[in-house]
Amino acid sequence: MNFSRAFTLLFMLLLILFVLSISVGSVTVPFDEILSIILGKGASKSSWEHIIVDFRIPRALTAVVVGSGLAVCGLEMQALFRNALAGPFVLGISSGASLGVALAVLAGISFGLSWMGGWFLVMAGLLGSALVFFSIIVVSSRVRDNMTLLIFGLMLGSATGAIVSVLQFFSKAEDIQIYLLWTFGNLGGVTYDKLAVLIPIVFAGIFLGFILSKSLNVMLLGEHYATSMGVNVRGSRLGIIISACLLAGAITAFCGPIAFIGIAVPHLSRLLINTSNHKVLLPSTALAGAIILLSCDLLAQLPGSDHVLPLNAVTSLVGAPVVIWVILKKGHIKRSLS
Amino acid sequence: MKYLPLFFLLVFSCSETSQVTEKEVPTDLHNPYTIQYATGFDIIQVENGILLTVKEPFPGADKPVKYLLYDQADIPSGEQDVQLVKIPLNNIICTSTSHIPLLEYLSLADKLIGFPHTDYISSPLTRKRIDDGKVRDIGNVEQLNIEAVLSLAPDAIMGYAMQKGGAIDRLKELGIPVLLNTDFLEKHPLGRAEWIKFTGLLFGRYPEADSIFRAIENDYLLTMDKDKVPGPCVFSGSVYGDAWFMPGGKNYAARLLEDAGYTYAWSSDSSNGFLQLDFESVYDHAADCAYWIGPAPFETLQDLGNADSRYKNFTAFQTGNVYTYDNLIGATGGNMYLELGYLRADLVLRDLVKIRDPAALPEHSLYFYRKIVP
Repeated sequence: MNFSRAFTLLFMLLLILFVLSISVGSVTVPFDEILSIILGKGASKSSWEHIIVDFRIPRALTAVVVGSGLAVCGLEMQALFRNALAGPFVLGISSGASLGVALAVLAGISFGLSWMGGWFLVMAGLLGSALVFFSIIVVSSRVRDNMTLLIFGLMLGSATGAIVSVLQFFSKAEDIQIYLLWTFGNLGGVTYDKLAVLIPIVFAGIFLGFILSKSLNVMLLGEHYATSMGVNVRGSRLGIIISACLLAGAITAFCGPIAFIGIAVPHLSRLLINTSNHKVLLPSTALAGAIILLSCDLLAQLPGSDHVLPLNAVTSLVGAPVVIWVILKKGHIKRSLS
Repeated sequence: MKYLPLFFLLVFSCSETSQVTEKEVPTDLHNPYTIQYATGFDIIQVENGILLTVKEPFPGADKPVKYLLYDQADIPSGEQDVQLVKIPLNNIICTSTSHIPLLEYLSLADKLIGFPHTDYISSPLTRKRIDDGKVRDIGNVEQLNIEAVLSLAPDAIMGYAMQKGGAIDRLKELGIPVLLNTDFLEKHPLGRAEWIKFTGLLFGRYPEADSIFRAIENDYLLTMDKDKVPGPCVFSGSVYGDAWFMPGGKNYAARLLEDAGYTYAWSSDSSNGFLQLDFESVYDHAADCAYWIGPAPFETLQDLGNADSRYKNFTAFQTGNVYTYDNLIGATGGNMYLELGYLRADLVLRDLVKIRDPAALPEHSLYFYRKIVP
């Protein structure tokens, strides 16, 4: 598909889904009331105003920010490691966040932050991912080979996973439940005050990725080629890692480890616009990520019912078959990646 | 031949009588054990002992678990699916804090010899025994330390759920009777309290258990709000992740609130577990409710509001009518409500009535609950 048509299509879809996710929910609010609330004229029922302004709008904004952030992060990792299975979590960043949250919830370690209330878990997650982030930076400055970095990230992930299971073994059922609910992923807990922190971080991460999109293109061809093309491999790699860590770390800290989006969306967007030029691919992946996460969240809300499904169940259950279908239908993932 | 009709009449009427006898006369006519509120177990006196049936060994189970309790020296021959348990037990390992008061109220605290994660126990009496080394910590409830359990050689283990292939299942294979206490599946608060009879029976203390239960029942019925005027609206729970965990309309927590004279905001719901609701639907439904009883335990309203600023939109938050059940925390961090609150349903009810109407029950001050301070 040609680029401008693809972008128009993605934009339109994003807009429609955004409006839809504000309009649909477990409570039925008439559309004219929603319009009147958005235009600042209030609603005939005050609870409706709160529902639209305090619940649905921040949630939809979170879906857009998180969806695009995770998708871009996945794209960067797939290019850096030249691996179709890489995703936002391969560096072990989200495992770091999980460890931070597990230490806070299961081991009851407050890091001196218990005064932070609703920010407590977020800060614990951020601390955990920052810890992994710095160790990744140290390792990446010492090793030249990207594969070593990939293995380091995977090892770090399983080590933190092991610590979390030990913590679970010694914890109360209620605390384990709180931790497990966090791992299900959620968008509804991000209120405006949290969005004010999340949006700038994600924006910075995506922006950094965009600046480095030329390096991403060259990286796909291999480090030696990149060096021969005059690309500062070390500097670019560091930039890409920083961008990915910002995105994965902040998003996981705020919303839990959200599965699938980061791995699958880059493939979908490559198939849609059929290019490996990251200058185009990166923005379209960001758009597609926002669209997919908005749709998954809409489904998780089970519109019309009072109940909710875990977001991760929906992203994986609905998303995986879509990806398989697309791959089987088009089948040139490998070509588009190299 | 002329007697034939008479003969038929006799046979027919006899067989009819015996059918009626079977149907109309309760089978437990001579059964000294009566279970009134609990639906999870029943006790029948049989020829060679006492048949104790746990009807739902795990949520949704279709087959009961039967125990034949016997006190004679020779082991009775039982049916294949009946587990034999020699009573009275001399000692026991318990697995849930709600089992602790059952022993203590029956003056059997000294029978407890093992417990997983003893830190969860709050009662000073049993805590002292733990500190004195008389109750051994046997590890994680999901994966009991089997060697520790075997070295204690308990007469029985009181479990609360049957996990196929789990440690509890293995202990059963090793010959240690596992008695399932499924009090948490009861829908009526007094049904949960009535499980003290289950424990009493195992230690030969049924009459004591019965009178303790009667006292709790009397207090509960006296405290219960009898005028059926719709009371103030109440809701419960908190949001975790994307879901607000709210007791179903037929949950035992909902029953307690209704009995205390509140109108539970989800009373029309027909489930007895917990509902996982969307925050916006909870807000839509309960925004104007007067009371919020049982959110996540926060020290102050400010902390609660910081956890999610949208909590501040609820009327109950704005008027400060928010109560949690962590008033009594044990020396090692356990929550007394989760230990004693199931047996002492009457005390929980008194707390709830007192919250609704501070002038009521002048001699009572809040026991399990506390108002979250601003």
